[in-house]
Amino acid sequence: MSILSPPPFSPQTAPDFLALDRLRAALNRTLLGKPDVVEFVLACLLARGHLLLEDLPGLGKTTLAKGLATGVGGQFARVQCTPDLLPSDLTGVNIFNQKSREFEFLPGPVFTDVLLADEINRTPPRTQSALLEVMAERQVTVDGVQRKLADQFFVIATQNPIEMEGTYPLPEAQLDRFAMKLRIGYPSPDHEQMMLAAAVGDRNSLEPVTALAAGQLGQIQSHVAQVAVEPAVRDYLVRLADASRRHPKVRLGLSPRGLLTWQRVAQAWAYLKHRDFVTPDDVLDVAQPVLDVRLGIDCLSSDQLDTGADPSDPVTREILDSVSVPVFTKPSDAVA
Amino acid sequence: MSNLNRLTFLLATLAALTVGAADSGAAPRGVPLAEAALAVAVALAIRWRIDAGWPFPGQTVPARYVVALTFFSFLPWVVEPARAWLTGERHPFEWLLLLGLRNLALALAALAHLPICLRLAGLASFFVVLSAASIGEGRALLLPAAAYLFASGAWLLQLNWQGRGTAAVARPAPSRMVVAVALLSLAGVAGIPFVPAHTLTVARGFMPSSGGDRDRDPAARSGVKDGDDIVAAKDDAQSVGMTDSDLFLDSPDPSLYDTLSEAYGEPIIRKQIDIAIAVGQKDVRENDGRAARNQKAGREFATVRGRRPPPRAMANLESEAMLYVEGKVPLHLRLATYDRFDGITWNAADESDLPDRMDKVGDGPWMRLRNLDVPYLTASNHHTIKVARFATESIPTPPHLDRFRLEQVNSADFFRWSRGDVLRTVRKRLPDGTSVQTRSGALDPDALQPIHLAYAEPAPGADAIRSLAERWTSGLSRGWPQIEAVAARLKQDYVLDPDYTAPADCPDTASHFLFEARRGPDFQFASAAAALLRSLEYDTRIVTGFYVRPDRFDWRARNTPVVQEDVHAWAEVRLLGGVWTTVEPTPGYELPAPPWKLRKALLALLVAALDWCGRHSLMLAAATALTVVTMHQRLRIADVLSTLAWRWTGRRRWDDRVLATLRLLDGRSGRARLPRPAGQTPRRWYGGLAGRIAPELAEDLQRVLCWADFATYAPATMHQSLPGSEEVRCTCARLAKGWSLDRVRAATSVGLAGLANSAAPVPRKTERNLA
Repeated sequence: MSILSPPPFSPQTAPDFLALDRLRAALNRTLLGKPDVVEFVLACLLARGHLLLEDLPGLGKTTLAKGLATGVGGQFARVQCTPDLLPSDLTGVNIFNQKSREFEFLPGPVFTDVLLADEINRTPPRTQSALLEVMAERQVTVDGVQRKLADQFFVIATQNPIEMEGTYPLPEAQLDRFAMKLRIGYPSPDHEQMMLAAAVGDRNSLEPVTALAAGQLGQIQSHVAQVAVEPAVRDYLVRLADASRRHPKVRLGLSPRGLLTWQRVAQAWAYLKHRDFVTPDDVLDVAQPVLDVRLGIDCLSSDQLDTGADPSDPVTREILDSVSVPVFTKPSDAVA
Repeated sequence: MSNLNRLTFLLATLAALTVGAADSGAAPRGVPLAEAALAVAVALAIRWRIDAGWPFPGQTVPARYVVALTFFSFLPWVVEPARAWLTGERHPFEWLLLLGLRNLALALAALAHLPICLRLAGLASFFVVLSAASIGEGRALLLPAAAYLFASGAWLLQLNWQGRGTAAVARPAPSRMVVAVALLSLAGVAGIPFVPAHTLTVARGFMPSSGGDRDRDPAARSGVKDGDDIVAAKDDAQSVGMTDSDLFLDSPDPSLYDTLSEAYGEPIIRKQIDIAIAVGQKDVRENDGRAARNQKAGREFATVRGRRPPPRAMANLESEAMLYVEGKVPLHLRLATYDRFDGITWNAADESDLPDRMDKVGDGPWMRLRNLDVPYLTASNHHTIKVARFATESIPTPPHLDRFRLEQVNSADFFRWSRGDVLRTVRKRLPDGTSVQTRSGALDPDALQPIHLAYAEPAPGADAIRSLAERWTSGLSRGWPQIEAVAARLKQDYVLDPDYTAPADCPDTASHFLFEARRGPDFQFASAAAALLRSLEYDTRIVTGFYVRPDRFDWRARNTPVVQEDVHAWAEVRLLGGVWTTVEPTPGYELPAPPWKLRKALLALLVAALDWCGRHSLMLAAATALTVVTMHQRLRIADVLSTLAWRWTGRRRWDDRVLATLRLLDGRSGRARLPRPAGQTPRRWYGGLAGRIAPELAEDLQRVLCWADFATYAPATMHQSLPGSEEVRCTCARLAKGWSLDRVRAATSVGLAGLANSAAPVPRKTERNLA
């Protein structure tokens, strides 16, 4: 059989790929003209990671989150983060029921499948840190009682890159919980025309549809975790992480948790390419959004802030270029 | 490669060069250096290949590289037979060990990105330099060893700094430490000349195969089986200090007479057949007393001599010098002169032409002999001659002696002139350990005019010699050119044969040597030269003494020992003012080089180069044309070779074929002056060209890239879903043919160039959100 265009690598996974194609199509209908963003969002979802969107208002962040929630067949909740938002506003609170004379737990918005935390950097660190356990452990502890969240719990947080007044930058520990950081950007004029045309009438023809069956997302995520990563690629990842820690312009290099996330996202990326093994190309393809969210870069010049240019771009490129790619060596030649 | 890796490789390279410079075997000096350079080149190629993309998963050395490392270390033993056959020289065992260690250091340095290899490379190179500097000879090894000293300081500094630098931010080492290490290293290098020679030579004892009596290595260069002799002090009483043995109570120091007899054999006493007439009883007077000994004017030198038969047992080779000379060599030290020749025997010079009385320079102890303010003596040579064990009353002095100093003796009455311009003391012999310092002029042959030479009437009855001398010097101007021509012809046409003995009934040994034997020992050369030059009316004499050989120069002790075998005879011609200058007619013996003149040296070099080019013009033209063509077509030649290698490799399995094809493409990109960066995957680098080449070729490229991903990164268990080998072979062949060097060049000029300028690692860039 040819491996040029490999089919799904087992009969069991064939329905998963069909469902993923449906989800991809649904998201592309929801977010017009942004197939690359959709692909990264899918990779982030399959890697069981969380997504940070850094962009301006009105560019489709909520639409994307809603579409994703609908696509995976789950619930959607949105929290507008403000300076007076309390942790209990997110996690939920115990209230005293006068009738039953007992405390009852009133779940917060985190008890959902897809949570959109809008303008997360406007809420103070106290509230931000309430999300730490939620994102890392997928559970909430209120008054000493742990409560599990949904297995496919997925956070999409947004933050505004330009308005610096009244914002609380996310701490490194919080940033490290996100799998990647993306920007959506404006759509092209053609896609804006399509969007306007679809909005005419009572019902938007671009309304999202459900693409995955119940429990199918968890099944796909477990398949993704089994994508093979050969020793040569693992060594490549380790050397990249080491290079990120040695780069003079990086304040904080890649953490071991970040390295694990990078490998998981690369696995998901390979899975989306219908491959059951990871190549260095997968690692490099997802490097920019994965590193953007967690590398502290020193080179934030005023020009870059004014123009909104991505400051980590040249640094990431230097890191990636400084590490030689393992090529031309068969797995049988390598002795781990 | 990081700075530390580069430094490690530099250390190993310097160690290899030190070994190359220290090898003082029979092979020419350039051969060991070329071998070292070859080993460095091999290690560099390995390093380059690793940088180009040989991965090392983890921090361990793969098994096959351990095998290659071992083989590289044992390579000197493998190539030694071939090397011995080519150069005629074998390496002793310890040197082979050293060469193996050199290769190991280089190989480890090539793998220096692994921390264990980096440290081991530093250790191995240090041991190599230490051993080479201890057992090697020659000034040439000072340069790489000193460079190693500096580099190793920097290496240690960098290693220490890297060990400390656990923070993510790499900082350069402080400059003060660099300066301190450099100064310490410099002080160490500067101190080497002041270390006593015996201290340096102690380190030689660490090598195993020299000395001892259990094993004998035919390739060993010194000291084989002399360990017991040294311990028992049979050779040299000083080797073990004081001894109670009476073995050395009688001094064995030889005199010049002993030395001459030892070198040339005992004079053969001819039977004199005289006619005797009996005298009467009254004319006979009984003498009861001891016969008187005639000690005056009795010095003779017979040129008919017989060599002693060789001793039955192997004699010990005396290594103790008779004299030590410090200063410019080669040098002729005259001890006795002879100026009358009867065809058989040279007789000592007359007393008539002794130089003037010597004067003190200031209050002494320097003695001025004569004013050497003549145009043909230009520079001044300074020598120190130390008498070690030589019984003589004559003071060995170089020619053109200007002034001298004997220790602290500041009285001119202590010295006398012996016959023929030979300086001597009033004592019976010079005490052992006496140092004589001399200053003498250097002859500039270009400034020596015919009027500066002294002439004498030729000896009658030597027409054959005269005609031979005229034939040799025909066309040459009178003066030094003729003298040089005679010496040069003797050196060129006659054979030095120390064992040859003229027939006992030979009436004229010079004629016999010149016209019949055409071979003989050095005194026959000197006799013949003197006879020839006298026939040309140059005032000539014979001198015996020592020839200080430049090849005996001990670079550590900074002097040249003179041993018994260095006794020598040569000729001298007289210049005006009583100066005698040396003429060296014996092959293998040289005069001191004339004062160096840049213009003359450059001119000689130019003439020699032009002459060589003229003689090898055809070969030179062919080599030049070949070089030009090779240089012009070097990329194409390299491409043909790599294509042949591609055909040869990867025949066994489909994945070998696929990876070899990608390597071929990589090589062609490099030759097209745009090599794939190490941080770029082949898919990213070549994928940018897919839209710029023929669709079918782009499809083949994509297939090969897919297969390469599968061959490289898929687990071995997945390799069951193999593509058909015929399909792979055809696709790779099409790609290798279609992706030719010319097409790559054309594509890179429009395609990869743009790719390089915007070599973004992430192709899928999200749009920028510009406010």
